[in-house]
Amino acid sequence: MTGPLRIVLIVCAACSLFFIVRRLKKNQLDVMDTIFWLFLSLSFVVLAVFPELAARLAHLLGFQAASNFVFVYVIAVLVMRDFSNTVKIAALRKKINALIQEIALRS
Amino acid sequence: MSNKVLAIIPAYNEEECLELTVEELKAVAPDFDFIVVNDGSTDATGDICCKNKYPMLDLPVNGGLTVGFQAGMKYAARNGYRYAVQFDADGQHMPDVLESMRAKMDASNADIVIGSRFVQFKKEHSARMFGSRIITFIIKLTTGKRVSDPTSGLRMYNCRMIELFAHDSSLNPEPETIAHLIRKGAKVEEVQVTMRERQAGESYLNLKRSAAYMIRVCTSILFVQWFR
Repeated sequence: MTGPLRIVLIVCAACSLFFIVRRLKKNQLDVMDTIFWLFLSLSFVVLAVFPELAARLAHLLGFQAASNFVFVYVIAVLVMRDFSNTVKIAALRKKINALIQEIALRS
Repeated sequence: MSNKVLAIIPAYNEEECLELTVEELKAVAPDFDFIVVNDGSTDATGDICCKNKYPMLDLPVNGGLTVGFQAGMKYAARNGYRYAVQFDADGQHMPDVLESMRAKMDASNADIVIGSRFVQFKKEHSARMFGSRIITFIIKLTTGKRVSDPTSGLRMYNCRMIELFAHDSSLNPEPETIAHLIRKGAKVEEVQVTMRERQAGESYLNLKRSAAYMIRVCTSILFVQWFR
C-alpha cells in the first residue's frame, strides 16, 4: 500500500468516526446501533493505521491480497446489517399498521 | 405542583397478578396515586383495569417497558406530581416500602431513590446475582458511586428527573441510565427493602434474554456512556 493511500484511508476512517460520534452525541442513535457503528468505524481506523494486520489476517484465511480480505469483510458486515435492518423495518411496519387501526377503532 | 407521589405500574399481560397487586397497593399505601400502563396487553389486563376503575394509560400497541414507563413519566409531568416511582405489576414489590423511600427522598434531596435488597444484606452467590455484581462493579468503576442493587426496578424519581424522562426518549428505566444520570450529576440514594418472588405469570428473562441484557447494559455503561 502506498504512503499517500494509507494517509487518505486513515483520514477517511477518522472522519467517519467523528461523524458517527457527533450523531451519537446529538442522541439520534439507539444504543445498540451506536455500538455497531462505533466498532465498525473503529475497525476501519485500526485497519488503516495497521495495514500489516489486514495482510496477516488475509494470509491466514487464504486470501491472495489484503485488499481482497478487506472487501469481503466490509461486504459481509454490510449484508448482515442490511438484512437485520430489513427485519426491523418489517416489525416497525406491522406496529404502525396496528397503531393506525387501533386509533381508528377507538375513536 | 402537588405533593403527591405517583406509582407507575407497567403491565403487559399481567391478568393473573394485577388485581392483587393494585388492591394491596391501595390498602397499604392509600396516599400514593397510581396509574396502570397497559402496554398493549392481549389478555384481560385492560378489562381488569376497566372493571375496577383503575387509572389506566391504555397503549394501543405494545411498545415495551421503556415506552410504557416513559408514558407514565409524561403523565406524571403533565399532572404535576412531585415524585414518581416505578412499581411492578407482578407482586414482587411490596407497597410498605414506598413510604420509607419517599421519606428518604424528602430528607436527602436525592434525585433518585432506589429500593435496594442489598443495603444491609449481602448478595447471594448465585447465577442470578452474578450479573448484578458485575453491573455494580462497572458502575462503581465508571462513576465512583456504589449502587448495591442496580437492577432493582423499584426506583423513585423527583420532579427534576420526571421532567428529564418525559422529554428525553433515550432514557430507559435500566441500570445504564442510572449510571449515565450519576455521571451527569444526579444524586442517587438507596433504601433497604425486601421483595417477593413473582406471584404468578411468566418472567420476561430467560437465558438468552439475560445474556443479551447483560451485554447491552455493560457495553452501554463501559463504552457508549462517554459519548452521551
